Amino acid sequence: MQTKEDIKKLFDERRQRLIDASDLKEPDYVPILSQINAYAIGYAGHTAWEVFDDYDLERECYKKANTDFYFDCILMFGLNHPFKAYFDVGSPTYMVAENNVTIQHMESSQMNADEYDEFIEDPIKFIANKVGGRKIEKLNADYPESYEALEKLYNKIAEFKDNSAFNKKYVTEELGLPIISSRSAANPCDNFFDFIRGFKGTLTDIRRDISKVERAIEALTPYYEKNIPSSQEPQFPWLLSTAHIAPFLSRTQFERLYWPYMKRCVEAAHNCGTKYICFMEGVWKQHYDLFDELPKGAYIAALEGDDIFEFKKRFGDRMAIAGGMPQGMLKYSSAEECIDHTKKVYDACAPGGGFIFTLDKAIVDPADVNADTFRKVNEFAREYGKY
Amino acid sequence: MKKTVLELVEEYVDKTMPDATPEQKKKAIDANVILLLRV
Repeated sequence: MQTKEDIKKLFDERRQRLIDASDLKEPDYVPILSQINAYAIGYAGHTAWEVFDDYDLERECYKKANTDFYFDCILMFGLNHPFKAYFDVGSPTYMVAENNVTIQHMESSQMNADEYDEFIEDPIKFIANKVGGRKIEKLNADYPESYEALEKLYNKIAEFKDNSAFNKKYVTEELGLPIISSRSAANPCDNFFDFIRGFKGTLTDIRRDISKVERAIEALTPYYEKNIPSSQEPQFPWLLSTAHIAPFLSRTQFERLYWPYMKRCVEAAHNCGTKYICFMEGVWKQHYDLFDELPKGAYIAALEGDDIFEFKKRFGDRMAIAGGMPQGMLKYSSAEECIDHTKKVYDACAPGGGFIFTLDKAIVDPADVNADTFRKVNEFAREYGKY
Repeated sequence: MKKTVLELVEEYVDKTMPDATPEQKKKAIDANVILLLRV
């Protein structure tokens, strides 16, 4: 039975492990990061629908998955949105997949190609009345039903935030696991694609008139600036970004639409004493040369599609790297093959420090990995990762 | 009777932050509208 002091000691050791790795030093062990998302729900034998209304059950599911496999730290603990509240107001933004576990983002565009000027003139009015009004069914009801729906939605979001704060305290004090980020710095370009104009619409617009898209993102940016650090922050946890549009942009498009805000966030985090960890979805190779502009040690690159061996050679002395284990390998390859791969990754990436072992993507479906293989790989990684 | 979503958010901020300054209310309205993006 672990005492409170044991758990605190464990937490402090793991926290220091992460700080050392991010500072490009060799810690005592290579830290292992959990990216368990809705997988936890199915792994524990439950459905998303059961968890939506039961915060205790949600905690049980995430505790089981994050302690059955060895981890030093966690990306997320619990659902990342109050999805049920979104469903209740008639929003189509997310859906529960047929497996009753995975929660999927359903892209929908509420902005038309001829509405850029209106958006640029007053983004808040446009987002409320056009995006919200077109997307969220219950906000279009007669007054006061519409107000009651909005009030209920905001109350549920507040309740969700309180539960997230409770979860953070729970994993710290009961499980001794640090959560790697305290807040997120979403890129306005990502959110413009995701939630306003849509993927297809924006990519088409960029090719027709990139300056309009650029002006729209510039108009949106002031509402995201509160996420940019402006004063001294603790060294850990870090500032988080989950970035997914970049692989679909050319080098020129990326440099105009995405990089300026991203670079500001990285530099601000660095100047305020913390780090910026970016989960780089897809392949970013076409943008690599821009990373040379970042201060040494400011950025932690969590890789999905990029070649970790090549990335380590190119950037290993400038930034920490997280990654190494393809989710698909844990599903389709044998435990021996996965362990051999882990060994190769550690041999290439661990020397000199600056390495965090993790999956290439968060797991969201109970069938995403073979649990037995996953357990064996993390147990091997824990032992093999001793410096 | 219908109200726009922005009017609903303004009403929500007025009710939940009755003593806030106009500037604080404006910031709260902006933040609450941006929240709707992810809904």
